[in-house]
Amino acid sequence: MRVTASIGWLLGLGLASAAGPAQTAANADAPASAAAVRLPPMPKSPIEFFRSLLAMSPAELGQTLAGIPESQRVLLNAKLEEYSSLQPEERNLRLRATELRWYLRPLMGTPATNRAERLASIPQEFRKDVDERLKQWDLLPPDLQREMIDNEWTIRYFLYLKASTPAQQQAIKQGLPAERRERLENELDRLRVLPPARRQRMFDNFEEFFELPPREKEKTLGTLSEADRREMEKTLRAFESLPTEQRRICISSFQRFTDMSPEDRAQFLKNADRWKELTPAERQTWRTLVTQLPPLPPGFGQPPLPPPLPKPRNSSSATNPVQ
Amino acid sequence: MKEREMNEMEFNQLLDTAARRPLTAQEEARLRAHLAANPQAQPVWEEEAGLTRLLNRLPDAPLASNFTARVMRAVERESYRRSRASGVFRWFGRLRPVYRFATAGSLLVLAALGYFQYQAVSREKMAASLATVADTVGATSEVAPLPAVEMLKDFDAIYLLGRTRPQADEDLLATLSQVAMK
Repeated sequence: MRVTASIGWLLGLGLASAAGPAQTAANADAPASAAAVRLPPMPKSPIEFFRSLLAMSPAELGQTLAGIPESQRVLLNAKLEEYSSLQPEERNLRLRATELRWYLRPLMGTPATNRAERLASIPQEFRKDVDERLKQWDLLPPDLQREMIDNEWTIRYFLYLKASTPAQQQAIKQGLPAERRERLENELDRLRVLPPARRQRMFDNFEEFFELPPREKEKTLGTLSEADRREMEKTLRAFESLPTEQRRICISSFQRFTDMSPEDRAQFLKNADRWKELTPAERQTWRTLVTQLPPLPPGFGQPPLPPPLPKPRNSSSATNPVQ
Repeated sequence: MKEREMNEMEFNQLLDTAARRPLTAQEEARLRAHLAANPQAQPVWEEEAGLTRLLNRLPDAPLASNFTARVMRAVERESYRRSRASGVFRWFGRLRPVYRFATAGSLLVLAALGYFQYQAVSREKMAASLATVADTVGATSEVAPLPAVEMLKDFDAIYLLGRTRPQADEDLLATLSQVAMK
């Protein structure tokens, strides 16, 4: 019975997939002003079929996949093995995220006037998520939407489903060298144990130092040992070389960094790893985009944002300057 | 002229005396002589004498038993307050000039020492803040894939980059689509 149902799924998916990608590609370039067009209902997500394969016994699975060409069966079996080895929480997160992408991504290229029917055909459990994300997407200026479509990886911002699972977070933390991670946390603890007012005063002092006349700076540094001075020399030079406003932003960002949970901090450092791999053009695109992206509404599962930057002392923008 | 002034002054003194006690025979004789020579003084005398009689009839107001002590204490307090404020200046004023210069100089030296001490403490506090924050930034640089300052310059962009992590399995969708197409 399950095998027959799965074969039915495959047939259904065949029809849906034939229509789906072609339609998606056509819609991606559709102008927003296009007149309302009746589109076929949203094809069913293939993930449901994949879930049913995961739940099958080896015999049932063998029978279901028997009619599939060898090359595709190998790929499918590899995916089945990969997902079977995951923790249930992580497996569910990945499958849900993939399903969300299946329903949402084609609609992002569809004019808002043509979406209602397709939206209604999305399973109830995804409809709210898809609808809320589309509302955010529609807030973007058309130029920005086009830029994001041209840089497909940036669209994942809207497809983001949930912060990492505890197992993933643990893996991220362990990705950092243990000794250095420990040293960082110890150093951060020196700041974190201080009462907030005193910690703030330390950051204020740090910021004020760079505004002192050179002679006063020397006298201040003169109160430290030679070893201490040498140790901090590189950091001080790096901050010294920044324009005042940017230095203020960096110090404020560092405060936010120290206030993060160890898991968020590890994730941030992992992001920095990815940032390093981006091309200068991709970095610039993302810098520009983040200043215009709408904040995702609560309930999107994202980790809480660190506290926002305090208002700048002068009238210039508090966002990171574009380089 | 002088005689007339004397008489007027004497008349006023007699009025005061009559308010306090009965006049002696000699004083009364002089008063009568004055009133006879100066009839315009008669109503003044009569008015004063009437007022004195009325006041003498009034009973004495009762006083607190410690009235005198309270008055004396109030007087002492006031005089101490005045003397304390001006005492330092009086003392300073009484000094010989050489001591005055020495005292002023000592005060200036003390103020300067206080100021330098305050500056030294402020510098030490600032240096401690510098060391703590710089060490933490340094430790961050050791763990981070980028120099800390580079990372902090793009803090928001890097933070939000986490939301572009691939969560959906696009390979799986491609595999399933291929399978379904056959």
